[in-house]
Amino acid sequence: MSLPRNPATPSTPRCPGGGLTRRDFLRGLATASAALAAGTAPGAARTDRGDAARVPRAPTTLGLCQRYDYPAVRRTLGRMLDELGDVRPLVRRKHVTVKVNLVNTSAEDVQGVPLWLTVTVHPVVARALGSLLIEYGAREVVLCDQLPFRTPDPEAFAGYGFKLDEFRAVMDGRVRFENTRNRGRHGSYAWVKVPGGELATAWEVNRSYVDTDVLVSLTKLKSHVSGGITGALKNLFGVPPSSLYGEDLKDEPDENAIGYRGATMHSCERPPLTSARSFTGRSVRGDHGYNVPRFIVDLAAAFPIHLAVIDGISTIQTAEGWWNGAMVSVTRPGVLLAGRNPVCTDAVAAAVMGFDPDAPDRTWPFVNGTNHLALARRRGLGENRLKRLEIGGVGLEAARFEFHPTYRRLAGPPS
Amino acid sequence: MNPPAVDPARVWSQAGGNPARTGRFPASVAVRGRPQPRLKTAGAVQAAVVFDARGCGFVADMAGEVRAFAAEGREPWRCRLDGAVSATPAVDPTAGRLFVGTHRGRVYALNASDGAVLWQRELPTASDPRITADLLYLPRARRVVVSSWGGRFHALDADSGRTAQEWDAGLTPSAAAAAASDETIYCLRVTRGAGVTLVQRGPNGRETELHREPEGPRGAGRTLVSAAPVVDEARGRVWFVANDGRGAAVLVWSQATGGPVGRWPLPGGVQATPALAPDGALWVADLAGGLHRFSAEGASTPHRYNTGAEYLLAAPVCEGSGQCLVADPLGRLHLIEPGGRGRVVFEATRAFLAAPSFDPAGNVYLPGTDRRVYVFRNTA
Repeated sequence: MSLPRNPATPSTPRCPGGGLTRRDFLRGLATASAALAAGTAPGAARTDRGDAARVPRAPTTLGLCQRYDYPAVRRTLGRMLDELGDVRPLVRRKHVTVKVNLVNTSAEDVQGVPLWLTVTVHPVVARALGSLLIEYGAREVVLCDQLPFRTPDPEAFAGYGFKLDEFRAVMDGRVRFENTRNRGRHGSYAWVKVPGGELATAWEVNRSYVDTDVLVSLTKLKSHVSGGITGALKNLFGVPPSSLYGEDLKDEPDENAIGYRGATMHSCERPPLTSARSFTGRSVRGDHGYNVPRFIVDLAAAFPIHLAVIDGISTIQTAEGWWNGAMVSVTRPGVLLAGRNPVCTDAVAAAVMGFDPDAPDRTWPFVNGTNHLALARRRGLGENRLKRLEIGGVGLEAARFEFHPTYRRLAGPPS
Repeated sequence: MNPPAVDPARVWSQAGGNPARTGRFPASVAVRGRPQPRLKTAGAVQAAVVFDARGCGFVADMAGEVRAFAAEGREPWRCRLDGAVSATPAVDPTAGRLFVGTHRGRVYALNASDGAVLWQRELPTASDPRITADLLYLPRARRVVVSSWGGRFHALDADSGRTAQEWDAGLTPSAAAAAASDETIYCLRVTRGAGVTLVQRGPNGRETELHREPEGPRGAGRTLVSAAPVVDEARGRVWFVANDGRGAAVLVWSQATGGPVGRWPLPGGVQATPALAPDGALWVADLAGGLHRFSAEGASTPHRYNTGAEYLLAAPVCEGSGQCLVADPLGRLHLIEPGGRGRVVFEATRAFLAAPSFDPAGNVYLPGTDRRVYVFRNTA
C-alpha cells in the first residue's frame, strides 16, 4: 500500500520549536504570566480550536521484523519510510537531529537481558535509520540524548551499544553523537517557547534540538507507569538537560550534573534552575500521573517532531525501565512503526499494544493519570482517535501484539 | 455411548500438564511435518492450551476471549471475559469446569461444555488486580489456587468461588503454585530482607519454609518470581528457581534430607517453569537463550542447548521418551534430544510466549502471538 502525501505536513521543515532570543523569551513569559494571572490558561484557546477544528493527521506505517538483523531492519524500515512518501524530500540536504530513547544508565539490564533488548533503542535500528537518512541526502545526522556520563560523547553512547565507528561505516562518516546532558559543545543554551504551555512556558535546552532542520524521535515501544505508553512524544522527556533540570543540582546550574528529572518533572518538588522562571507552578506535587503527561505535551508543543520511528522488535511491558524491578517483563512484538505526526504514530503504537489510544484518563493503559495522547490532540498537536487515523504497511491487525498494561500505582512499585 | 476412558495422566489440565507442574506428557510423541489445522484466536496467546478428558481443548487469549475446540476441529463455544488472559487456565476434568483468571483480577468458573459462567469472583486488592500466575486446580480439595498482583494466594472453593484459604504471595506474585498428589502445595515468594523462599503448605493450611535463598544484591524488588516449583513426587524432590535480579540458581530440595541436594548457578534469569524429564533430570529455559538439562545425580551441568534466541520466555515441555520441546520469541519451535542435540522443527512469523501442550492423543498444541494455535499431529 502506498500512503498519500500528507498535505498538512510541510515538506520544507522549520527549526523545531523556533529558537528564541532571551529577550523574546522574557517577553513571552510575561504574556504567559499575565494570562495565568487572569485565570485563562495560555493553552485554553488552542485547546478549543484543537477539538473543534481539524486536528493535524499524518499516516503511520507498520512493519514486521523479528530480529535485530541489520539488513532486514534496514530493508523493512526503508520500505516503511518510502511508503510515508515524503521522508526523502524532508531530509534532503538537511541537518537532521535524532533524539534517541536511551536512559539514565547503561550499566543495568532486565533480569540479565541487555538494555537494548528491553529498555533502550537497539543500535541496529538507529544505524539502519541513520543509513537511510544519509542515503536520502541528509547533510549530517546527529544522534542525541542526555546520558549520565561525563566521558566523551562517543564513549558515553558506546555503553548502549552505539559504536561510532559502526555508524560512520554505514553513514558516510556524516554522523555525530551528542550527549545533551548540558550545554555541550555549544556556547549557550537555547530557549524554546511552549505554545500554550500548561506546566512549562519554555524550555532551556542544548542547542542541538534547535539548531537543526529536522527533528526525528527514535524511541522504544514500551509501557510507562506515569504516561501509559512510551512513544515518540514521551521520548522528548530526555531533552531538558540535567545541568538545569537534574535532581542532583543544589542551588545553581551545574555543567557536571548528570541527575534525572524526577524532582523537577515527575514529582515536581522543586523548580528547575533555568536562567529565568519557566514553570507555571500549576503542577501537582507528587502526582506523576498528572505532571508527566502534561510535561510530555508541553515538550511536544515546543519541539515539533518531523518523523517518529519506534523500535518495537524486542522490549518490556508493564513499565518503562529496569528501575521498575520485577514488575516489568520482556516481550517480543517484532514490530517497527514510523509516521510523520508523533501523536498519530503514538496512537497507532497504543493500538498495536492492544490499547485504546483515546481511553479516558485513569483507565488502562493510562491508569495512573492523564491520557497524554488525548491531551496532545486537544492542544492541536495531532489526532489520537483510531478511526480517524490512516495506517499503512502490514496494517494494524497483522501488527497487533497485546501488551500487559502498566500497573496501577496505589501501593507503589517495589523498591 | 460414552467415549472410551482416557488415562488421567494424559489429560493436560493445567500449566505443566498437572498440579505437580512437571511439564511432562507420559507417552512418546513424534512431531513431523507442518502443523495443521491452525486454530484462530481473537488475540495473541500467552497461555498454554489445556484439555479435558474428552480431548476438548481450551485456549484463552490477550483479547480476553476463551475458545473451546473439540478433537475433530469443531468449536463448541467461545466467550469474552472482562480482561486479557495471560495465565494458563485450569480444568477440573471430572466436573467439566474451566477456571480462568484475567488481568482485571477476576476469576471465572466456566462450564466446559457450553462456556456458561458458573461463578465469577474478583480477588480483593488495594493495588493492581491482575492475575498473571497460572491457575492450579486441586481435585481432591476441589479448590482453585490463584494469586494476583495484590500479593496474596487465594485457594478458592471450586463450587462457589469463596476463599477457603489465603496466604502471602510475596512482592512479585507471578509464580504459580504446584502441588503433590496429596495436595500439599509448594510455592515461591520473595520478600524484602528474606530473599526467595520455597514454601510448603499442607492441606490443613500449615505452612513450612523449606529453603531460603538470600536476597540478591539488587534487592527483592528486582527479583523475578515467575517460574513455578516442579514436584518430582517419585523421587521425593522439589525443583525450583531462585532469580537474583540478573542471574539465577536452580535448586533441588529433597524430602529425604530435608534440604537442598543440588544448586546450579545460571548467568541469566529464568521466567518460565522448567520441565521434568522421565529420568528425573530438569530442563530449564533461561533468559540468556539457553536450554539447560540438570540432573540431581550429576554434579555439573551435562547439557546446554543454544536456541539462538537472545532469551527464552516460554516454558519447555517433555514427552515420554525424554525429548524436550521449547518455543522461542523468534517464532521457532525446537525439539531437543535428551543428549542435548536439538533442531528447529517449525518457524512462525511472530513470537511464541506460551508453552506447547499435549492433547490426550499426544498431538502438540502450540499457541502463538500471531493469534493462531498450531497443531502438530503425533505420529508416534
